[in-house]
Amino acid sequence: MIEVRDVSASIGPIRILSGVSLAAARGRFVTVIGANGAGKTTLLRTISNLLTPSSGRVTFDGKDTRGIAPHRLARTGLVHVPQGRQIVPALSVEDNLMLGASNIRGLARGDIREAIEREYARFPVLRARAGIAGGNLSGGEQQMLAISRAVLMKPKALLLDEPSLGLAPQLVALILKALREMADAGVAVILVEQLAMMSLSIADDAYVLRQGRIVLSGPAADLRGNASVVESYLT
Amino acid sequence: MKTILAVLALSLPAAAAVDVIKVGVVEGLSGPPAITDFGESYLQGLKYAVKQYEEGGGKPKIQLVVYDDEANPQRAVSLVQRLIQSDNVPVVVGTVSSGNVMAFAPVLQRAEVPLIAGPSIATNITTDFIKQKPSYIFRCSMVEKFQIDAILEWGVKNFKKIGLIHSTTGYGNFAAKSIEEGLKQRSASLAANEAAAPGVNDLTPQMLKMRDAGVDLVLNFHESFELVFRPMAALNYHPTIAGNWGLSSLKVEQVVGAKSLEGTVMGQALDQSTPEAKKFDAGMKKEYGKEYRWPVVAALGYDAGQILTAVIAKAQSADPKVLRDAIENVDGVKAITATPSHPFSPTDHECIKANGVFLGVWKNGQVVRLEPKR
Amino acid sequence: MSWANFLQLTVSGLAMGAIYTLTAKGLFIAHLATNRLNFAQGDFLMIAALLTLALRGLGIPVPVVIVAVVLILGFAGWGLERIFIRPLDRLGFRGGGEYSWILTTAGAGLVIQNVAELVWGKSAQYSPPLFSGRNEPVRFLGAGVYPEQLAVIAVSVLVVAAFYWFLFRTRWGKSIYAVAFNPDAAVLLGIDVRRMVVLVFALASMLAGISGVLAGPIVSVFPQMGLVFTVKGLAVAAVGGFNNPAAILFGGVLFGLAESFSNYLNSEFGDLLPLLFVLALLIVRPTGIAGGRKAAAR
Repeated sequence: MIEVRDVSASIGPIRILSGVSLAAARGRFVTVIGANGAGKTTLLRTISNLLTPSSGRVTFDGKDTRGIAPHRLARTGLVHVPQGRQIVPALSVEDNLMLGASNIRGLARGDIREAIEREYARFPVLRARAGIAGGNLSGGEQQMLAISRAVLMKPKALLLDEPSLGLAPQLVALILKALREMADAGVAVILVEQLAMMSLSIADDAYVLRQGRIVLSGPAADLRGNASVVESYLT
Repeated sequence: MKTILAVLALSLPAAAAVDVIKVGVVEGLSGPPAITDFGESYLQGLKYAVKQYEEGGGKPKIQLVVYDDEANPQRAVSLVQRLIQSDNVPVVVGTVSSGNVMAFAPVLQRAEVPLIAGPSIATNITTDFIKQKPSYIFRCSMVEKFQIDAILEWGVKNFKKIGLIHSTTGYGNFAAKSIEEGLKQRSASLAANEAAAPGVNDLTPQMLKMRDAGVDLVLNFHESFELVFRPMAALNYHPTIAGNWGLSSLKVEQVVGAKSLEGTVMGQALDQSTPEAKKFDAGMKKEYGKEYRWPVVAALGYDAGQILTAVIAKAQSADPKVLRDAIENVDGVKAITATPSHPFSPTDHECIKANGVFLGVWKNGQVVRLEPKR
Repeated sequence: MSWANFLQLTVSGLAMGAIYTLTAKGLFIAHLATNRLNFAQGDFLMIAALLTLALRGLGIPVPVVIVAVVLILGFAGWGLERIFIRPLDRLGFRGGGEYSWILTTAGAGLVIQNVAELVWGKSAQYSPPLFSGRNEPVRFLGAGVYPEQLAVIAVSVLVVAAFYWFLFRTRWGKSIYAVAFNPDAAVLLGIDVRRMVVLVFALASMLAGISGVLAGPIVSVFPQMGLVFTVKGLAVAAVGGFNNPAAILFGGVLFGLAESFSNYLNSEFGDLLPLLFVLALLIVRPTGIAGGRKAAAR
């Protein structure tokens, strides 16, 4: 579903990514781990076209993404959940969810309601806080909201940038479970994280990013077995 | 090289024929309409006079060197300096703002180059210099004191309560002071006195105060003159309005509407019902079309032009001192305005005299002389 | 003060306040979505007033003129964003930094003023009444109200209501809040941010258009009239906290009334008292009346 081939990207004069390649097929849960500053966020931004790579290619659903406006990419199913949740603080939980649903064409009102109800079932606390303004939610609640909002966009590929940041472990587990369910339902999931062990225990494939390069890759189980090697790349 | 030539030129006998005489003109030709209407109209009249002179075969030819002072006093002074030093004009005409005139008049007096001031109206423009022997400062325009006197004289006789709306600019405050003094001299006072900032959008509160005080004559000395008229219908209050000669511009009629303007009084120095004025009016309309919108200011510019052309034709000289004397002694001026045929003397450098100022009133879309009630 | 005077002052204060409110609304909606606004908002109002004059002079019926002017102004808003604001984004830092749009939009205002002067001349123009019989005001309880004053008050209330509905009930309105909060995040939600920005500036300019059409018969129309409206619009928007349509209406009403009554009580200071009042209010509550949490946390 997503294929990154030999991508290099710079921000201004600074080269962030060099020759990065990865793939996330339909239904595969891919995780990219790296330390702070390794280029994880830049990688996701390059995939979602917020950033144009200086070389290399990104394909989504078989088509080259070059030149496609990011908002259009999002509407066709390439959903990127950025760092820090980005819940609109002035809008209520329900309204934030509506933002996700209503930007997808061709969704009938009834279907939208059904989809929202499914998310409330997945994260019951959201139903309890449905009318509360987004800015008044806790970090964990905002993250759940961000994920539900992304789900409502009917993603074919789902990119997540450090969703575990600042969250308690049981919350992280809950979120990872939700992502696993998405993958099992056929979505290509790319999870970018600093928490190596937790992501490795739930993903299918893994890549290690260090200073803008992929230094290690393979099935997650294999990398899990090589914990010390992985840790050494994260320093 | 230039200096040597200049010295040689000066040392030649004065009888040597001069082909072209340059006349320096500084006017306010850009900026707020309160300035440009004056500047452009005065210049229209001046140019028309020069045109007629040339069509009549006048010699020497006259070349107008026109600069725009943009209503800025520093700019006005530097333009005048440029006129006397670079352009070497022997006479200057201008400008709209009295403040600008007062800034450059001393320069011209010192340089001994005559000035015909206009259309500025500050009372002291000529009187500040007249005691100098000789004074180089003349003026062909309305004199503020004369028109305020005329209005007050008539107002005190014909109205029970007089009110004043003035702006807080130099112009408005100065007018307010003159009015208060003038009324005091006539043992009267204002029933209501309201100030308003120059950029204001609505004068309803001020007009309410006038109505409250029972004012039947409102003196309008605010730059946004039309705002006094607007609330009158809503307030069901229709006092007589009187103001300075600015109210005689045709633009006023366009902005306020002939109906509201009916009966409004202002200082005037041009009686549009005389045959000369009618001929002038027709000629100006032909020459300038819709651009011609202010008969009295254009007429004063025209009379200033007539004086200049008469003086230049007679003196046949580009010597500023000679020109000054000739201006002071000019005779036989067939003025359109109330300027007399022998306007100046060593003690009086005003075109318009106190008794030359009368009141005009809007009647049926035209400004005519106000007939005094007995 | 007599009852009739009080009413009279209230009405003219409300009418002027309504014009300021409409101007402020335009500033508000642009600022909400983009953290920028049109410093030539008052000049757009001026162009609308002059265009109305010109079109009516050609004999075109009033309703057509109104629609035409509003559409032309909307187009102008598009042009403003496209030419004077968007290029700065591309240039980033070299474009003069965070606030260069102030200069470019103010510059646009000066250009517009000069063009207006060239076309219409510099003096004040007479705006014929929109509804026939201007010099016949509606009388009630000893005060006279011109139909245009009633119209502008009604329109500003309608606009406030429309804004409320638009912002809080429609998808586009919610999208604007998302854009206001973080344009990148909004893009990722599938929102066409660029189109939103254009929409918002066009909307703001159409508001200037409506206020110009309505204000023409009430105030003096001349090319330099814009700046005062821009300044007062900013003051009213600031009082409203820049984030709540009802608060802006409230601010506009307060400002208009303060102007009207303070001029009655002491006319020498002109605009000083209402502006001082705004200043005092902002010192006490810097986020404006509706203040509290700011919607955009950039």
